[in-house]
Amino acid sequence: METTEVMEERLPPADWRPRKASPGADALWLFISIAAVLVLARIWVAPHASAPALQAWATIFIAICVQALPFLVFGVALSAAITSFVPARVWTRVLPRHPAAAVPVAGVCGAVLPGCECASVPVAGGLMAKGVAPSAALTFLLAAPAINPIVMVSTAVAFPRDPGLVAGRFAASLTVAVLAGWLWLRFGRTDLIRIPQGPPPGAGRWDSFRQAMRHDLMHAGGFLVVGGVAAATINVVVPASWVDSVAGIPLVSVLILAVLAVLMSICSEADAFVAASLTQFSPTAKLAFLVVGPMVDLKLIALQSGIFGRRFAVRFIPLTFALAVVVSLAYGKAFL
Amino acid sequence: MTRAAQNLLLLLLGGAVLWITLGTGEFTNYVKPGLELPLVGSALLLIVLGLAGMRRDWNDDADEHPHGRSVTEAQAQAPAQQERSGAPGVPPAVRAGVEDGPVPAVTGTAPEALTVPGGREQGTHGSGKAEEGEGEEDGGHGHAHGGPRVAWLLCLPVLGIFAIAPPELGAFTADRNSSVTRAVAAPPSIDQALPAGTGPLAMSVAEFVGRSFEAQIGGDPTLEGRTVKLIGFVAPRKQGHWYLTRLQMSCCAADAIAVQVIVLGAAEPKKGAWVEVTGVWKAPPAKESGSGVHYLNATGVTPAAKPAHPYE
Repeated sequence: METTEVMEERLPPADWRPRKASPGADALWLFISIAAVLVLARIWVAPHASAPALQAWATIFIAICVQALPFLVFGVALSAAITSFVPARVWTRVLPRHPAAAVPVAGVCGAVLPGCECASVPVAGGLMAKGVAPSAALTFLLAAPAINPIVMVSTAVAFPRDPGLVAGRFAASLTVAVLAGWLWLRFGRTDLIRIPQGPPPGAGRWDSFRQAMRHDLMHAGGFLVVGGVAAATINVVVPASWVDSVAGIPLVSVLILAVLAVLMSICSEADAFVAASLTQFSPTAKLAFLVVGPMVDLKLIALQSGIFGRRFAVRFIPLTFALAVVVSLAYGKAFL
Repeated sequence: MTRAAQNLLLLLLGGAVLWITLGTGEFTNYVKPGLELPLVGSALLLIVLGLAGMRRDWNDDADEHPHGRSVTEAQAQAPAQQERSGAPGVPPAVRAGVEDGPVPAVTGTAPEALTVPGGREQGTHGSGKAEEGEGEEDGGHGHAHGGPRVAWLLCLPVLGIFAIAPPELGAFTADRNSSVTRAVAAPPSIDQALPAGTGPLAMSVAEFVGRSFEAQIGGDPTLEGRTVKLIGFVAPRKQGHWYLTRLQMSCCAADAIAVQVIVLGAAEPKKGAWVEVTGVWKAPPAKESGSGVHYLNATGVTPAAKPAHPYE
């Protein structure tokens, strides 16, 4: 398998340096030494790490990671399965011909298909390459990570007493995705977006599944840790009175959590748990956090500029952010 | 980050989760007990994934493919680099073929290794056109240059679990609980009468607070005159007396809020100690009514063992 893959790909320049050690044996030794370090740390460090603030921080940080892990792992497995086993042309067939009609259908498709936001950007690129209208593909890009079943389940688990917030996440995210698609259909010019080229041939399916899953886990997991660190720090370090006073100002608190969602870049399958930990903030502010996060964050900005071009990103990202905040505010005003 | 490191990280993560679930049971310090099964399942999946990846790498070595290893690295890095320079992406069905492994360049060897055609020279302003751009690679997410360097952060929870092994949240968190969170913690309404009997009635702190709140906002004073028994830990109170406290989590420890009862008529035990308090509910003065303050006239305070599930 590996050999054929290698043959299919472009070869490196002749002066490429071979590596000396074998990765398998390296990994084994590394694993043994890390395990030893951890056991020793358990014996010598754990009893001394007793400052209450440090312990509380670590408890909250680990709690967020542990709580989000099953959702992340199973979500990533599903999305890897879909990207590895379902060809892109299936979606071309599902969508109506007329772009204005295709936009809402693409949004609803997002509710059915699990996929991390990191995966949805290239998937949307693939859809465009297959001839799907850009506006519909963009709606899918926004909707898929925001309202897919895994995300909705994890949100319901994180907010067991707030069904309104769970429904709000679905409704507001879908609204934003469809509005953004229609606005792009109406005002977006074709020269603003770079449509990706058709795909080259792929590898074996199981192999591609395994690699897609590992890849997504590494990315999403890394950003989940960033979010966990930020949330634990807000919880432990920032004086409660500050958070209280900020959280008490209606509009400001919404904007702050919206910006925080962009900065934290948490995977949508895990962000509900971080949102739930921000207990001082109003439901509307948490809703804004949940609606903005899957649609605009640091890694998505990078991904979208990379795949669709910078000229696209500087227009589409502010548009999405503004829509997400306004729709969350409106929903919060009406229902929360 | 090399493939070997990624596989290793998967094994470590899976191992750490198995350790706190099947190994020590510490996971109840962090999340609800019901999450055990999903946690074990996902840990096993992580371990299988890591082992499968390792086996592949091992086999590749055994192939005696003199440059095999470096070839794969090169091609995986090349597209990633193009992607960073703004090349078009590819749908994920395809990316994985390109990808095996070092999703771009994190190890020490990275910078000088990037001499592949289509690399940095193509310029960052994006006319680069490569058929095999590694689409979803977030090569350029703003701050982390060229790749999932961010994935190394996954070591942090593992390190935390083993090196700090933090216990359940306690008095520190209760101290930080603000007036706002206490208002948010308005308990669910409870309308049944207490079971008949005369002995001290064991009750969760949350139920006590719920019944007390009902009585204060005009409901039935179901606690009136009844001796109850509450288990919780001790948290100091600035305005005198002390709090019997229990933390309540709706999902995980990160959203824990303190449920607190002011204990009257008993000397304050050591901060953070678990105690069982027997006593009778006392209505707060009229001006504090409904403001989230609850009093218990203690008749006895005895040390208690920490409950198996420290959160309510």
